[in-house]
Amino acid sequence: MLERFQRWPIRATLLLLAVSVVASAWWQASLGTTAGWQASLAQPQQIFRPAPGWQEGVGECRSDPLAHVPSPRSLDVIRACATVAGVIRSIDRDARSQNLEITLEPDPPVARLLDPRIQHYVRVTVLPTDQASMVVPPVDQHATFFGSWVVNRRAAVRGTLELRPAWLVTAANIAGPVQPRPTLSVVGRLPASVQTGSLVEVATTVESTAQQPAKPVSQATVYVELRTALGEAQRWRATRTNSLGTATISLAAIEAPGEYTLWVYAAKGRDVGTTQVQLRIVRGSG
Amino acid sequence: MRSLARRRWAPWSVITALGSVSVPTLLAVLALLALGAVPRLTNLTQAGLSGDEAVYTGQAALLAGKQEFARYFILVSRGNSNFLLFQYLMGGLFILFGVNDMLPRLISASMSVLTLLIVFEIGRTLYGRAVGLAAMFLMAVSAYAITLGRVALLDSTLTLLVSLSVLLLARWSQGGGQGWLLAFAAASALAVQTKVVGVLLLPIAIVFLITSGSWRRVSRGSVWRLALVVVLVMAPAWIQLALDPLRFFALLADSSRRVSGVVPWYYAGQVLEQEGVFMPLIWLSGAVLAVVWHRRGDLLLLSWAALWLIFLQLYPLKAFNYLLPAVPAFALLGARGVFGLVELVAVQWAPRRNRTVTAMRGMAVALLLALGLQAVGPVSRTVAAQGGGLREAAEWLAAHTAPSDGVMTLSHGSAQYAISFYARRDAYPFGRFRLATILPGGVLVQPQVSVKGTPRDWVIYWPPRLIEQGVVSYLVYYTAQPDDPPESPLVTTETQRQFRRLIEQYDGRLVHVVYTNREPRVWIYRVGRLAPQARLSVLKVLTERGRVLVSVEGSGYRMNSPVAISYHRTPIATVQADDEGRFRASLEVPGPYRSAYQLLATDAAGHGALATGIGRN
Repeated sequence: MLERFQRWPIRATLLLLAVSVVASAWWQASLGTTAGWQASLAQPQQIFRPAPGWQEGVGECRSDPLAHVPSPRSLDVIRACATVAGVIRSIDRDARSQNLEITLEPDPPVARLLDPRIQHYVRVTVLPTDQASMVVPPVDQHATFFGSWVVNRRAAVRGTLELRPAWLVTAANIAGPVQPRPTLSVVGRLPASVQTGSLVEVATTVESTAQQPAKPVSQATVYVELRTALGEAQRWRATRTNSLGTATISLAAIEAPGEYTLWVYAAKGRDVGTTQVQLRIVRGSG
Repeated sequence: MRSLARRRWAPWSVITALGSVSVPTLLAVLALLALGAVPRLTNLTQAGLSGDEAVYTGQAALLAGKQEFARYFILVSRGNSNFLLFQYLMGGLFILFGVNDMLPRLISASMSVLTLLIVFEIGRTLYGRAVGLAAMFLMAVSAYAITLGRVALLDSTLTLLVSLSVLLLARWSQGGGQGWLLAFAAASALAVQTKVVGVLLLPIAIVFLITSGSWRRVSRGSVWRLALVVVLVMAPAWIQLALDPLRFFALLADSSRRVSGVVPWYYAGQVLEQEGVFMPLIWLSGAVLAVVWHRRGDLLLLSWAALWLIFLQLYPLKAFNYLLPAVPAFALLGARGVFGLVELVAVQWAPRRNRTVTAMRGMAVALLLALGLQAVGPVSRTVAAQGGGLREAAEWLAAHTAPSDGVMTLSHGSAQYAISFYARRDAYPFGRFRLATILPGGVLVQPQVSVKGTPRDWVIYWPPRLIEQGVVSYLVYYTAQPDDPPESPLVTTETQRQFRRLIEQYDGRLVHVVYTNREPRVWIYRVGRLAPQARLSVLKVLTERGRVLVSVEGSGYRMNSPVAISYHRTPIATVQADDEGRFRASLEVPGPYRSAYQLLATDAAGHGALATGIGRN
């Protein structure tokens, strides 16, 4: 039985074993656990692809380009600050997110970056928190938008290139940003402490302090962001106030127990206001 | 041993072979059986049945004549994965011991323990006692095999039958009579009925016959006899097919298009996560050495392992449990590799050092024991793992809800059946999956094909309709977080986010929380309203002597909630929504009147709707 082994040099088999050990150790060390690499795939990533440049002199490049963007993990940032010019073909307000969704037919330099099998137009998204400082030109007008150039990884859109968010726009008759007026008084009411999983009703009242006495503001955009103690945004919701100047947002507090801050932003036209409310989510008694 | 293998076919020879081992070997086998049995059988019902387990158990209960399960389960595999062999076995035991959630797992665990014996016998047949014992040890401490041995899925039974088939083929290849080959055909047919993927035994056998040259021993008459055995043993499957061929092929057409969006190294990741590094390393090294040495036994094991892996890698649907039937092959290859290397080194060094052989064998045993120690962590984690808490949630639902209340829960296609099994409640899934759903009452709903990927009908289409019709009254959210997850997010997937959104839209009020290890795991919500948005309609406007009277109708409000109505910011009435969140009211509206002024109705939760058009522009 033993003689058959003598046909194969012992060094070769030991070498195979050693290579297996080293390869396995390297693989484990480089990738970490399965959960680790799956998590790394889920994070927003900076990826390297051709992207439009940033036009200096009009506005500032943001340090956190995806601030206030709902579900940022579905986006990969190609260039944090990019400038895209083209003709506006449609403007819609998303009722759920209160985002302005603009369809832009890009000028040739940007059009060449698009894969015609996926898209011919660029979607430009203006978040509720930026709308007060932007005057968006009407449909069919040429405009230049400034924002983050990203690829959207959501399955439904299959890797479209987008300017999300855009925080600045210029056009023939629009030189740059407008200054918002902090004239809205925003009051947010919610319980100080809730059990994990409870439905939290965030009641917001928006009043205009431009005149006295203050008056309720109807049809104001209300944007709510739930932040952890470390300042990370966990939830994003938006709605509009009713004729009494109130808006209620229901949040199921299926969150890890801890201290949270609810940041509430309201805007109507160029009038804006913000407030913050503390929320403690407790584990409950098991 | 060798003379035993060369005996003519006798059905009892596998059993008598075990009786022929020496006392120390027998003691070692019994010790390894105990070593494998303890983690497989400890705390079996610590966690409740998962969705797939509940499906098999419900089908078995139905086969045992328990008609109360007929509303929730049907006697056909929705994914065409099996022909109910495991369920028939379970059903027979249910007749004897009654329906419970312990027995299904006990069967599976027993199959997993019995597989250890088969692995020992394969190793002994192909390479000798030491390799058989070492392979048995590797299987006994495999965290992956233990994990799947503790759940009532089909894989442990399939693995037993696949291993048995390979053992029978090995006996035949070692000079056994044609009876071994016929027994192989019968065992393979049983494997196919346990899970259709058992059909891989056919290409495994063919590749082995060709590469080893054993095909010369198979006559044309043998082939016909083999086919006859397969046809006869597969009789239950043919009967099932004949009873409802259209449904079978409809399910087959749909389930065969299922695709998992996972990374190409999915299975490697799963094994590493379960076993740690050393066990896969021994498997891999054993496989590499078997390729190098390629003896007849090596060819059989390599055909087994390689074909199974190739199939899994090519098959677009991936799942954690699919790899199990290949694990015995890897355990055998790993054990053979360790002892093969020992012999190799001994041959090189023995002429110079007589004691080297003993030392090297000792080192091999020490290596295996070290591996066993390393496996303590993964195995103990497996045994201590807690379930998702769906059983406890279902028990609460059974005790606190009306029998007509429907329940919806997060699901990859099957989780809702755990609720149906434990609570006897109509349960519905919420999630994206390409698998038919059996609605309560037995109606089978095929998933709607989507060009954008996995069907979304159980996210977009069905949930709002079932809630609005009052069919679903409870929403059950659960998280699969490990223990003590205070810093981890409880909502991570897009489906979880959408379900949370559903809870918010339908005003889900938290009525119960299931805790595991003091951590909340399952949240049960009572649906608070029947529509995601409130509506307000002006039915009639009457003007009498300068007064304006309006009839209004509202829907989509919180059930039984007061609804405050105002006109142009002036409160005018409070009405009560009924138990469907509707109301009708006739109101006097104060002037002045303008068409643009808003009539606003808001319930206690802040859900509101407005109407305009009262008065002139």
